[in-house]
Amino acid sequence: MSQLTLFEDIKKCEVKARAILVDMETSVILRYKTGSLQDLFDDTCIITHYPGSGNNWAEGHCHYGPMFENTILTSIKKAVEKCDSLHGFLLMFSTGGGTGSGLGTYILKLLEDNYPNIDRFVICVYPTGTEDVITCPYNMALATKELIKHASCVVPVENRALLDIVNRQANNKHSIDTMNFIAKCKPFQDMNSIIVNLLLNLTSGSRFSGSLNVDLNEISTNMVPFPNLQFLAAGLSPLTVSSDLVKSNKQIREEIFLQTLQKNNQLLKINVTGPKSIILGTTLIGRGDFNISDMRTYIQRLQKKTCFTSWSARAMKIGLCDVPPIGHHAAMLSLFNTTSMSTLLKNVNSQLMRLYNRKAHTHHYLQVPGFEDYFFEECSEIITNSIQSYRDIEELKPFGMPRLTPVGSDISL
Amino acid sequence: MSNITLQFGQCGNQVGQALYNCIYEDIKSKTDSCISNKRLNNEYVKESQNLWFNVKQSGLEARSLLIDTELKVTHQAINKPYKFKNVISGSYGGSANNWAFGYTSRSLLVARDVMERLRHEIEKCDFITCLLNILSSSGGTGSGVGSRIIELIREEYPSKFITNVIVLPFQKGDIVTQNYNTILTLSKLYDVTDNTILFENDKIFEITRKLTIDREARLSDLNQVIAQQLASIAQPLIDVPFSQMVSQVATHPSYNFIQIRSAPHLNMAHLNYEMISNWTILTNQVFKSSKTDILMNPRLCKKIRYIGNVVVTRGNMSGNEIDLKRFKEKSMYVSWVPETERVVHYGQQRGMLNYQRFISLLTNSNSICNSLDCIVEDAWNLFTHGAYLHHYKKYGVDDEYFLEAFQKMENIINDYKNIEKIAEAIPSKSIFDIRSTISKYQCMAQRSMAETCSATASSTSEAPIDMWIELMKQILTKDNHNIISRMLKYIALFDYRTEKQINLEDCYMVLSDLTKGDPSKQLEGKTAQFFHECLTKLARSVKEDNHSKKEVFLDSLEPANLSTTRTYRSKVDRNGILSDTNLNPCKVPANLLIDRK
Repeated sequence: MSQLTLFEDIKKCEVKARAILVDMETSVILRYKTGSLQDLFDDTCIITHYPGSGNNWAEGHCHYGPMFENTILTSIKKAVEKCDSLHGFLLMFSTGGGTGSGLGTYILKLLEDNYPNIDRFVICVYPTGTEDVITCPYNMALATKELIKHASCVVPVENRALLDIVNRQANNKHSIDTMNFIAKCKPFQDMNSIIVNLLLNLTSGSRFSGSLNVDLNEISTNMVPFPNLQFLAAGLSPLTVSSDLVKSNKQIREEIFLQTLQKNNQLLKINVTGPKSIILGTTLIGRGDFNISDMRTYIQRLQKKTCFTSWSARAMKIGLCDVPPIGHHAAMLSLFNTTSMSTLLKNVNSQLMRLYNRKAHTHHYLQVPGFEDYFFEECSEIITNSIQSYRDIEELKPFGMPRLTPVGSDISL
Repeated sequence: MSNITLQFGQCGNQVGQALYNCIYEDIKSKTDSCISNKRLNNEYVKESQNLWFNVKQSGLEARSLLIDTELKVTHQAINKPYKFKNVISGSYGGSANNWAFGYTSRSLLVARDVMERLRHEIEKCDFITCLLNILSSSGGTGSGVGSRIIELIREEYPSKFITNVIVLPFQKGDIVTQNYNTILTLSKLYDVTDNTILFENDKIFEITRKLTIDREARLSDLNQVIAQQLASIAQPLIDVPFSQMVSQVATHPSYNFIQIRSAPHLNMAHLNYEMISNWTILTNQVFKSSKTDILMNPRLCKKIRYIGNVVVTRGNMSGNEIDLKRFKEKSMYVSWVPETERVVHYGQQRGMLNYQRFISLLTNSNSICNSLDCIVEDAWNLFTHGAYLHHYKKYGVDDEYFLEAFQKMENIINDYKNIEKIAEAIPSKSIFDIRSTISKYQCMAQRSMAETCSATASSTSEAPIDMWIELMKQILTKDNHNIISRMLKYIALFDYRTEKQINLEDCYMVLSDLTKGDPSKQLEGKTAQFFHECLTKLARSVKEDNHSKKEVFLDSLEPANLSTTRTYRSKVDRNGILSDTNLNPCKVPANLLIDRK
């Protein structure tokens, strides 16, 4: 798990990451101590333990959480004190396992208590459809509940979607160069690098200059119309490693824009532009050659193509960043706050209920001190509430309230 | 004479830098086409330098403050032939497109520094004509921090002439909360500053698109057009300072929004191949462009009505070459503007930039209605759905704050819409007559109020709602008086709307009964629905206050009771209710319950 992607200070190439790595086992983090990135992290920001959370949310949240609360808080405080102005926290974890989902969401709550006005962005992986752990549905649901309650923005990513993207790339026989390149790649690394690309594009406004700057905190202002609907669907384009195009022209830029809307380029298995999805908020971040006229035409096309509520149709956030990602001339990231997000939540809820109705595996959770029986029901209720609010918006009929009538000057209410 | 500019936020800084570039180029432009007289040119250059720059031996220093909450844009101000010395920015991470965040929180970071630097800058000048604030109303820093700082400046310098240059967002905008931010900014600054020059992004974009046929328009092109228009009116003219010219078009305190139209706008690269147009053609172009808006939305205003126009020409003009007959037509002006003030012409023999002739028009008319109305419409739509409000509430800008801003904007739009009617309200008497009449009526009103509301406090306002609030405050204990008065505010908002189906009087009656804890009256159809709406709204806002006592109180007001139970009292005659202390525990005076039609 890591905090803001930026680095502390550059003194003769001595860079330290503003990151805190938490894991309840040591093997993954050990790689950082030996690999090429070893200088980036020092021991104060690494928190490990043995023997792991055993794929158990309760273990991570209720046991390790209070146990490591002070250690984690001090390392966060140390990192925060080195910042001129704290912009936001970026949390990354998976919701399927024990440490990520349990301890991760515990830290999320800690951050909310200690830094209430700082935005908390969560990029989390949902293993829906590709679960490799039997207790995964419990972990997923419990983590989702915490996310709904405490995060300011959540960008969920589904493993299936990432897998599909990677597979599609592997079958991409565009040119010999790309094929050679793909042959060398490892699938898991590629899946991670897609998320990395998402993060790079998301933070591009904070790192480079641009004529329409988008900072991280602006995204939560623009994308979260109501406090509990903070799940955002992300789409990326281009997804290829590097483009062989010399320069981007108007057609290519348009192609990139259309791709970001496509189902195949979404990091979630939902159809953003489909007939059932009603969009509450949109952000388009163009990097590289995009300019304001392009963006204006795209807005118009998007507004024709998709469904909006009566108030969200004109509401769109646009960012322009001058610097494209390495190997490309132009790239685009789209974020949508859409009602079709409820499919993901429904999925989480139904999986939870399937297990919980038979009370399977619940004893692993109940034996952890601090974990109560009602947690499961509460969690299901919160998720259903969230689904219901999406449905409410879908079924909301436009109503026009008459505007205020002007009154004689200087009437104060 | 000097102008000091304050540039706020990303847009403000970009436009500000474009403005200074434009002025610098204008000072340095040496093509023969626009300079006919050498002595004249030297004077102009000297005056212009003094107007915008601190002239030092080492070079020019812009009389400007660059204010931002992040570093990226202000960093671009470094490599210029002149210097920006006052950069007040830090990597605070922006204002999150949130007016409330900028206004209440971010402004604290820069406020002291800005005031200090501004004082330094003012002390360097012999005489200040104008403080020019450049900002966009859509973002967070420009709008929020800008509003706060401008308020502070007004407190510190109550008599300085302050003009805002506000860039209004695209209608299909690039920020979701832009319309909220815009209404909050405009309503805040409307009374604080002397007047406001508005630029509409949509309109500037149209101009820019024609300039850049060979490529796509960029934001920097937009900024350049704005800069040119600004420079064309703010560069020195003979014998008339900028501030005087601007106040000439904003003669009435309710009409402070000024727009600029200008011609020609040509692509600099194609300048040599363009036909040189004469003054008549240019005048016609400007005249047409000043009238186009009105046709777009006939619902608001059917005909153009000017309050004032100032025409500025830059370029060689011999004798009476310019014909302003089209501008002088009486029917286009509001009737109360005297004939001599309708259109004023100022000429400067030197051209601007590389243009041989450049004409610009400062205009104040009802054509601004359309864009303001669209902004309020969109913001109201967001507001009634409750979207994005929690971001603002976090920083203390709540529903009532918004409602006040909405009310202010509606008033402004209404003033412009009914521009003719204001004339009727202006009496044709001397100021002393008016004053004495006003005081006379005030006395009378106060006296009659004191008589009718002897049971309650006397209030100078005639609106029944104010009396209700006063009454409720008296009756209820300190803990919960807030609730009822707030409830009344919600009802009052509807009071001002002319909705016939809602019987507000009944609402007041029920409320007064409720304070006793005994709902008596059944409300009908729309009134009941409206009353419930008010209650739920109130309940929501009280819940957010997290005040347990209030919640208990609210629970006792369960709306279910209202619609289902007894109806027996609905036909009791009104005087009966009033006199019965059981039914009227608050001693509501009769005049509050009597039909106000």
